[in-house]
Amino acid sequence: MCSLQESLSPPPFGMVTVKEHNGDLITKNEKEASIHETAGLQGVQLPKVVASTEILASLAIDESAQSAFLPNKGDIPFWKRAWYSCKEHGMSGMLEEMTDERHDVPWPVSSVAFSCLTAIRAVSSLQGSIYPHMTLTRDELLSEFSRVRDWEESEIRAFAWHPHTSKCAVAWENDSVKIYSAESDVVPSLKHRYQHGVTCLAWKPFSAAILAIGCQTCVLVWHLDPTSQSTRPSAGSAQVLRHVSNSPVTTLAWDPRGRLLISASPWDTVMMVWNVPREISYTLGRGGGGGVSLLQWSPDKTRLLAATPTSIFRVWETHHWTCEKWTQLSGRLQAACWSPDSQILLFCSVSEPAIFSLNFNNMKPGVAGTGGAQTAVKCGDVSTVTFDVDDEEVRVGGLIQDMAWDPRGERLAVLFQKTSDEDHADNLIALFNTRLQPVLELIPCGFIQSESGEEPQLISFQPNFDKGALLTICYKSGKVKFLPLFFISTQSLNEQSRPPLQAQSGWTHHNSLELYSVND
Amino acid sequence: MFGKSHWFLREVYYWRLGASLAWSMLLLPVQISLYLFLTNFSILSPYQWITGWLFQIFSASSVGLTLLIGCCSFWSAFWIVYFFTVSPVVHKDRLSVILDVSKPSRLLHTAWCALSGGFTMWCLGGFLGDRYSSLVVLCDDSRSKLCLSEHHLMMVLFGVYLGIVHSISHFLYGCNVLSFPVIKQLKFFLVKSYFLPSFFQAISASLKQLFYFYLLYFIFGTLPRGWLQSNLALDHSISLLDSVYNMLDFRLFWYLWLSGALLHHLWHFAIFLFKIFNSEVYEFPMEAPILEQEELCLHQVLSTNVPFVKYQAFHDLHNLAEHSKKRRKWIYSLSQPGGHPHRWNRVYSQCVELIDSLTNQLLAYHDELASGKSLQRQFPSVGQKANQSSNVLTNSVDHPAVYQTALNGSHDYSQTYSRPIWTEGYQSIENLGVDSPYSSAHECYQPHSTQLRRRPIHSDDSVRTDQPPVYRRETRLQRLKQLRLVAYLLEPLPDAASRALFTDCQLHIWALEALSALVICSYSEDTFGVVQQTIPTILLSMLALNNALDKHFKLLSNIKEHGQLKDILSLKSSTSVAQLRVDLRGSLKTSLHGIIATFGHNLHNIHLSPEYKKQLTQLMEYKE
Repeated sequence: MCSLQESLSPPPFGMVTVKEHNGDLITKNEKEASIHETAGLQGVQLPKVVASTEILASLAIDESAQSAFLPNKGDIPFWKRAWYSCKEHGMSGMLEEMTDERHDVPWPVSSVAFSCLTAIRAVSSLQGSIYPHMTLTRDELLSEFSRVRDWEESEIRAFAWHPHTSKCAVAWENDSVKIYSAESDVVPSLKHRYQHGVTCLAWKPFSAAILAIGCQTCVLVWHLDPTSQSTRPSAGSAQVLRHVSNSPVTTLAWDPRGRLLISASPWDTVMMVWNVPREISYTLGRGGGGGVSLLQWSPDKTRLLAATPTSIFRVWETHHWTCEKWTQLSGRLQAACWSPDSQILLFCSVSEPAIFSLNFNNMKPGVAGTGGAQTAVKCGDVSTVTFDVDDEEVRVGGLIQDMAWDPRGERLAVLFQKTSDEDHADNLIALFNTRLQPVLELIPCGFIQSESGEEPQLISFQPNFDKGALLTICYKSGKVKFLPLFFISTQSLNEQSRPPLQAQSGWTHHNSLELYSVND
Repeated sequence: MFGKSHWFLREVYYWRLGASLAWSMLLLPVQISLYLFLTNFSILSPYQWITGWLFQIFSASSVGLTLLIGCCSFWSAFWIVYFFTVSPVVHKDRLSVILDVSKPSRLLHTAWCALSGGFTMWCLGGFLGDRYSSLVVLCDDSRSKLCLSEHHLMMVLFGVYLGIVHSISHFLYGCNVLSFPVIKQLKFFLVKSYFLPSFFQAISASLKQLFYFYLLYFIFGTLPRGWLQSNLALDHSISLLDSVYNMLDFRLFWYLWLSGALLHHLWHFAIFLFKIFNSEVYEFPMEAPILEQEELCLHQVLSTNVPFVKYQAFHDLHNLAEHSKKRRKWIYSLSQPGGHPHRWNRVYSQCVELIDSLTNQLLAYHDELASGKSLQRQFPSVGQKANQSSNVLTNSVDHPAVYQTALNGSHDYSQTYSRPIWTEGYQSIENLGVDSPYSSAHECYQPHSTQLRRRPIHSDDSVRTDQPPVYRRETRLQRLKQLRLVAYLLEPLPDAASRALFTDCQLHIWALEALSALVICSYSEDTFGVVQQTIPTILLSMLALNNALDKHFKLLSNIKEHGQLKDILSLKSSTSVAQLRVDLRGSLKTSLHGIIATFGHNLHNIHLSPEYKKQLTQLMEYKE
């Protein structure tokens, strides 16, 4: 098990990490770093994400028109008021109205309403004591379960790379989603009446431009035309996938072949499996756990991680859709990522500064199941450590907010939760060097220092960067930084040292063979 | 033919049917005891409520009545099963919808449902006792006179009404189409997750129907009441339910509501179980131990003409391509002796053939639409419809030349567009017939692969025989269309002709996805390179279909501008086809992208026409 203590000390305050070069994190001072950034990345084209300075009034207004009017209680008959409050706030709203207005209402009605309300409150408090997240308001729930560190305050609320092209989608604080592409200057801006409280974005794999957006009340699937020059695609090109109980949607996952979309909500124990073109949903889930807070599909499509808001998480196998359950986590599962070969799951809990790994190579022939190991192994300790940088003490580490593993399984970036301590450097991102063979190994290789005043909120890797890995960091101010990590992957090193494939194994593999084509 | 002797019927279908019926019977007592629990509801004396309920469910009369209800719902379920089909029906106009619902066999089904609904309600009345259990009761005032028990009558009539509504809506909303879920879950969990929503659905559906029934009974209730009173020589003086005030009987309402919900749930639960059991993947064997059993194998079943079995076969192929490494390996293997890739060739040629047939139909349809348009410009006729598709259908018959074109094309003038049997509105699983007799197209897309046997796709000349009667009938129809009601009934529904092309495109979706998954997996699993040789053909077929579909959707967007019709006769059952059409397009794109992403720039080595080459490049750059 590794510890952050083994890592190189973080760069001093005022220096900025600009790239990694074969294991060394290169830092420059802020002025040089900005020049370096504008100079570009050795011929790699990247989208230019600019924080939106224009005032974009959201279509989904936070404040309802109702707030402009004062409630009128004088002349309206009581029954009418009860009916309105039932329509506005539901059954419990009506009961509250009845209980409050005792002098207007006949006493049997008000006492019945009062007892009903007490019963409802008792049940919900009981439920709240088992599942505390059930008592949160919608906004609190979104900021609690979103992957962003500070969802309420951050300019950027969600970020997603297109799986095949150099294109990314960014959800801004005003609920608009913008698509930035390296090849074109056109920035389509997506807005919809239902696009409110965006927490997650997911591009459909094996498609040009189909983007799913998890919103407060529904899932929106935008079908965009990649060649279009329009900056405002019409709302008609968005499909609304709505299910009564499955909201707010805080996590979305397309299966790696691009056929199914799964959406989940921390308030609903079942996940919805969508057949998007037909707009049919199939429910999938088991009791217990109180909801689903995080979904992660393994790259080979055979397993799906579904974390719950309690200390349980499940892994589903995707053939017969049965699941295995892991319990006794120290808190709920906060972040997780799969290795590229889908054999290892790295995860961390919300209340323990450690990274755990779970192996999935125990598949027994003929036995259905996920093949997961019985217990998870603690493979990284990220509890707070102190470094001496330029005669100053810097405290790094702590609870983890999010983790990102690069698509080749070589680098792992860890974003820490925000702390209230003054001297705590929670804006540093820890970088680990990872090895999958022969056994999983995490080697701390340093910390990524950002510009002063910038707070990282989200991290992710570009799925198709061919010169190593491209770490993307979204900041609270709306800035998006692309940090290239140039390295030679172990896989290509192994391939170079091996004899040519044909000579080695004859027919068995034809990765490097030219395709045989037929002429008619 | 899916005759009595088809092996799939014997070995799979009957078992699944039996299991679904058995489970629906086993769960019947549970549903009835829940019903009794709710009917005995009494908040003021909970102890009596529970004990009364327990005594009632274990009493001899309850067991007897439960058995009677069981028999009745068993036959209802069995009969509904008879009307199941795999491909939805697309109606050309409203008249065809009406005709479809009022076929003799369906009317018989409606009659049965009405009867069974009434009988079940009679049995449920037996549970409730008192004046709900018999038709005749003693009058209150004098012991000698007999009166009609209207509560009982109303219950039975409600059952009859629900039966009729259930039967009609079953066909009208396309509930008889078997759809296959995208994920394969264990049956237990499916049933478990079905129960609670279905309970609420039954409650709400029953409430809705009860509202209409109350209205009906209030208006027409005197007819059965008077008839019974005069025939049974009962006392006329007392009628309990002849005024609004009398009808506001909460207990009656509560019983009717719950009984209706139970009836709704019994019927729908049986259908749900049947669907679950029959949409399950059946794993066809890959290899037969003896030659006689060859017809059981997957590659043989793929080419069968029986739609239901064909659906099962492609479903299985899709499943194995996605999930089973072991079975994929068998497909990639070579024959012994000889070392030929027969298995792969059979599977792949079936899929490609299916895809090409759809491409050809689409091209023929476009061709016809184009010729229809050009001829319409030459012979403008009176009373043209605004709808473009309707122009083709109505005007093309005005002139013999066009008429000839239409007959040579893939159009049929029967009432419904439905494949494989065009004139049949539905096919039961028992009589699912021969392959589609749609005629061959003018302009066929010619896939340029010569290495495999390619039979002409769907050629049947039977359509071309009887020209004069059809022509006479059409002229008579034209005259009738002057009437407003007839015009309303015969007005073609929007894009019905297009939907007719896509009725069984679930097969095409599976074929595309299976091919794509097999090709993608072959990159790492195909040790002999059998798939590589056929990639150009597969890619070409997919690209051709992609082009045809793109063109088709462009045409559709023109048609859609003329607005959608929204009334009960123009909807529902065929909207599922419209969604299938979109689904097909989506999975074709995903399949193409999957293959292209796996093989990447190697695909540039394939010789393609410049048009396809351009398309391929665009797909590679994710521009499409």
